[in-house]
Amino acid sequence: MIRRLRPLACIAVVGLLAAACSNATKGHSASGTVSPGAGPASQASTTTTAAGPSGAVSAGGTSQSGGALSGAASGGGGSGGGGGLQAGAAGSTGAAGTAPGFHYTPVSLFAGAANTQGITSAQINLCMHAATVLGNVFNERAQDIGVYWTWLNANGGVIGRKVNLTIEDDAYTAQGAQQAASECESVNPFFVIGGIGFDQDPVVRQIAEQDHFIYIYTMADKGTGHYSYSFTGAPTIEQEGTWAGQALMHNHYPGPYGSVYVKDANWVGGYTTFKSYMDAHGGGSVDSNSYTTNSGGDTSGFQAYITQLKLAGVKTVYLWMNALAMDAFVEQAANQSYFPAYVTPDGFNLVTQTVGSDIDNQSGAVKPALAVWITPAFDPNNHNVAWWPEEQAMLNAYAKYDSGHTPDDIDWMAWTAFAQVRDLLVTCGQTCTKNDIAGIFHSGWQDTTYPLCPVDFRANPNFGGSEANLYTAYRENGSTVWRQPATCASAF
Amino acid sequence: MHFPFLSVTVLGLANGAIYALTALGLSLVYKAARVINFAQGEIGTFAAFVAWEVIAKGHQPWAVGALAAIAAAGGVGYLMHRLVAQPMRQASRVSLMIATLGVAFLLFGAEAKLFGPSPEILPAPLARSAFHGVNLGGYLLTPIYVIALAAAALAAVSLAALLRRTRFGLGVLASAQDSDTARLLGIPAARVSAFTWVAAAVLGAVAGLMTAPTQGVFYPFFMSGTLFFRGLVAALIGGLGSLSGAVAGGLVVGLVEAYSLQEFIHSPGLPEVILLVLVLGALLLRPQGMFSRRALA
Repeated sequence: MIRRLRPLACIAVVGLLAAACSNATKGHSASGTVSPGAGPASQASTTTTAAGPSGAVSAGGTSQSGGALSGAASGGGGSGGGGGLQAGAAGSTGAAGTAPGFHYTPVSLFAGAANTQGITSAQINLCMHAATVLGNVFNERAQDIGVYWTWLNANGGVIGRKVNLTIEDDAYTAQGAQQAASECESVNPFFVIGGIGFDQDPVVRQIAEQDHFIYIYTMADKGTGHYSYSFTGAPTIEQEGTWAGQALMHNHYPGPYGSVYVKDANWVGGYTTFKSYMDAHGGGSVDSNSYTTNSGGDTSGFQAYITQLKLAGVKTVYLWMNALAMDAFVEQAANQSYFPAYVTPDGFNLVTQTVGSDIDNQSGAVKPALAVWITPAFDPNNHNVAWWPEEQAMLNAYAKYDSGHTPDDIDWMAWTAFAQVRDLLVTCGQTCTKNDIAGIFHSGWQDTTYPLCPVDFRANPNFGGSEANLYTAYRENGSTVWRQPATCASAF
Repeated sequence: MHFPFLSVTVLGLANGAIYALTALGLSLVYKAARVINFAQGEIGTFAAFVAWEVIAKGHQPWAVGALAAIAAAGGVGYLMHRLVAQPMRQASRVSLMIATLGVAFLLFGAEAKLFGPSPEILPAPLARSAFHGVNLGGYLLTPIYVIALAAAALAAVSLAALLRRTRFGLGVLASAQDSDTARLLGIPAARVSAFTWVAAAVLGAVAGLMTAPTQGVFYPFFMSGTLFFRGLVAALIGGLGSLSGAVAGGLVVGLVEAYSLQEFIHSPGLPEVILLVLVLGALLLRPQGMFSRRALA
């Protein structure tokens, strides 16, 4: 009998192992976002004039629609001077907001032809890794992401150069990012841009330092804190954790407090700082729950955490996980009749569109969800925000160059981030090289690409972001959207 | 902090009901063809994708999406009968089992190709605003779990009634006991086989339609990981081929999983190990199944 049953036992063993394996890997395709990095920006080697709120690019350029980013910003030696930067971003997006009088000194990271690899007098080749694997869930295709460059190229490009963006799928995993980085390297770009992904960006950052390519990414942990080739205009995940604590304490979100976070080196910093802040500011004991996943995307099996949080009477939960996992958590919590207030970094429209009715101001939740994120909230139906002209400019461009696609917040993140990349390139000027790009950061670039928050690399050449926006989930006209009670704050 | 016995038990039973649906499908096929259908879970994923396509993308009512999903799953089941089970009826059971594994991967590829590799969100059948759920001793069982329990109960009762109260059902059972004799008695073997595969696939679809909303998101191969193996454990514990055992096994697995998840909340992977120990113990100590009176054939 035992012999006869052995195959069944084997099947069961294999089955459970496979199930465990599946649990470990499903996060690969589970949660995430497709979007580009909030790139750093830079300062022209010339004097530029900061743009106004509506983003009209000045500095001698044309403005409003059709303005070519021409101008002869003679970077070169980086000692300033040079031609007048003419920036005329159609529709005002991406004002060249480099601080006036900025001067930079090129570094000596690249020699010979490597210094100008990926850039010619006519073209700049960029490569980006992004989680296009998640395109369906975000209603986003690779070609939708890059519309900014299509629009910009049609309007003169960057100082006369066309920008060619290659997008490699990082599959929203560290392994995928490694592969995508390799693919990017193979096309010899001027630099590599990192999309959103706390698991992906640190991996590519490490590769960039090792393989010596310039990497401009969205957000990651602080890591070693000092890098030669890697730069971000966004805050660190550690800063996100502190902000989450501030947001819920200063907005009087009730305790007891709980958290569910990804137990992973790339993520844990965002929990640690949250916990530290709460401990130091009277938050009381935080009921903490960690779960293990490869990419922050494990979306099942939250039921036990939810039961525990509910039993502990936790009224406010810090969800330190990606947007899809948050969706799963909120849905599973709602299925257990648990409606706490949430604080999260996941200020994506996907969240409000899917589980918004469980987390907004009319949901019956303890309080509406709060989110801290670097891009201003995107709502094409809300024309009463200061950055509406920028949204409108983007919508117009998408209507013209990607008419089959309905622009969303992912496009918005891409659009604004690429505008900042453009600022960087404009700042670098006509004779831009890789040593110039790195030099701009190492020289302490200050830039405001409205409506992104200002970046300032003076304190740390690798991390220029120290401000973000606070969102709250709000229902109007039957839909839940993010509203933005605080803009570009350094504390909440 | 005391153990939340009531809520964990209710949730465990509700999840167990979904596992029972999967176990029922597995047992049904095993009863008729003596093979484990490795595609059972993935049929659930496929059905969830079809429902998502109709409901979320096509903006059709949930019931329409569910019917489309069940029809699609039934189609898959019929194709498995026609293209796999029938042509391989003389092949060894291991070969047929491997073929079902191939079908699982085929479905995985089809899902990725047709619907994309991304995680998706299938809405729940009922808005919570329309029906708050059922209060069980202070614990509110929300609509999706109420529906899951009801669906599992309905499926089990309907299947039992069909098999035991109708001539065709008795023919199915007779075929399962001795297919050659059943054929000699005029029971149409092909129809019996077709019914078995289609019914199992429909059970898989219903399980998928319940699992996706309770888990929040789903993606290709999702239910092969989360659903199939728990269903298999349930079927093994209950006794492969025993329909009542499948239901009981599903509930046991749901409860054991819920208790172990709660007890070992900070020990990832341990609940799976406990399930593994459970099934190995059941196979070694009572191979015919914990809830089966007969020895394993």
